Amino acid sequence: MNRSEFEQSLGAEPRDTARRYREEGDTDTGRDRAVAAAEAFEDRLELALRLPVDESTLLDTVLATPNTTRPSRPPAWLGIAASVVLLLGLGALAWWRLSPTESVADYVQEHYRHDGAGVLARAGQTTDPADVTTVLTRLGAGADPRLASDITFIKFCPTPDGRGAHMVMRTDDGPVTVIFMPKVTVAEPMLLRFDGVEAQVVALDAGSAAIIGAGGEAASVLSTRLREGLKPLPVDA
Amino acid sequence: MNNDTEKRRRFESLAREYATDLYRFGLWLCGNDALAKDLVQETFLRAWKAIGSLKDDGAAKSWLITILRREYARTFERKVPRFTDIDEVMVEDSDELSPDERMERTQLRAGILSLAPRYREPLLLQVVMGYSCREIAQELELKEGAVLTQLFRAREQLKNKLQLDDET
Repeated sequence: MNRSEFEQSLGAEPRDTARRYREEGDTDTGRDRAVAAAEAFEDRLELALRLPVDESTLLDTVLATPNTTRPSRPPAWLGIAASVVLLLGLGALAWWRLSPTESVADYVQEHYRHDGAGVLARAGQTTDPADVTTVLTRLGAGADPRLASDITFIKFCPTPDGRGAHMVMRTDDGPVTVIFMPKVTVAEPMLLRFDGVEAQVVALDAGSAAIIGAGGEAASVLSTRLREGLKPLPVDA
Repeated sequence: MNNDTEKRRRFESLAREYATDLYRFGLWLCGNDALAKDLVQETFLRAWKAIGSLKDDGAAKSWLITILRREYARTFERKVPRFTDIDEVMVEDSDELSPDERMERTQLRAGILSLAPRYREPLLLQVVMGYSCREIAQELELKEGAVLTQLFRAREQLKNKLQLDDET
């Protein structure tokens, strides 16, 4: 390998080229210096690329993924079959609407037990407003600026129907956990009590939300703010 | 061990091994923390659905990377996400750096983000994901010689940028 080829190789594959050079046992002051400089640059590059990651939160989200499975787009022929079972489906829907509360209540309780304390512990951190917008947009919703500025933490989370957002919101009474469920509808508000915590599940224009850890009056104020400030995005947005 | 338990075990094993690297790779690709997390979650969602088709766990890394890159391409078909400064969305580095080192790292990160995708992506695959040139060529459907050239030019551009920043 001539000098030019060596430098090309060192620039493209510095680690491998340096290793091969050492294994060959050649001694060339110019090449020694080039290898040292390339390795020093590579150290800096690797450190710059190794961004710090909150691995625990990331893994929580990923491990919850199987529970967030969304229906994939059905093949065209299924449309015919779907129309055949539509009447049966309507019957099933009517049955479901008689008892939707149990599954939502179970979900809120289990999800908060699994993740609530850990997320709340990160409430002191501030979230980039752009991230709030990005997460909500991906869920088909938008928050007014005032409401968005009070969201101090947000991440995707599973819900009984598709994905939602697990948020921590700043209120006058301290941080409050809100689980936004854009595809879950509730016919009327639910009050849940578990593990010494009170939770309210309220209907929004964009699905529903569980407000966890706020007292009666504070929860009522927050539910009004969520109803007024969290809206579904237009379909074409 | 029943099938569901085995499926869950394989999935969790993949998540623990690759989620962090995939997230870093996604973040450097798109420059947006929330979008990168969404890309990773979408990747694992698709992986969960199709994990039965992964016959060899040794091929899992390239399988996941391919899923993530396709999902990223689909995201761009839907809308172009807003690019942000990586340092704005990340927590502080935990290692102690002198002010000069911190500035240089910031310049380097800005330089990486400013690389054209054809230079940035092979570099990320090599340094973040640990790919060889041959693996990069396979993933990007390029000739190995072209990958070597892109990797060389990517590093040259970064070195030039650091020198330029030092001079100004």
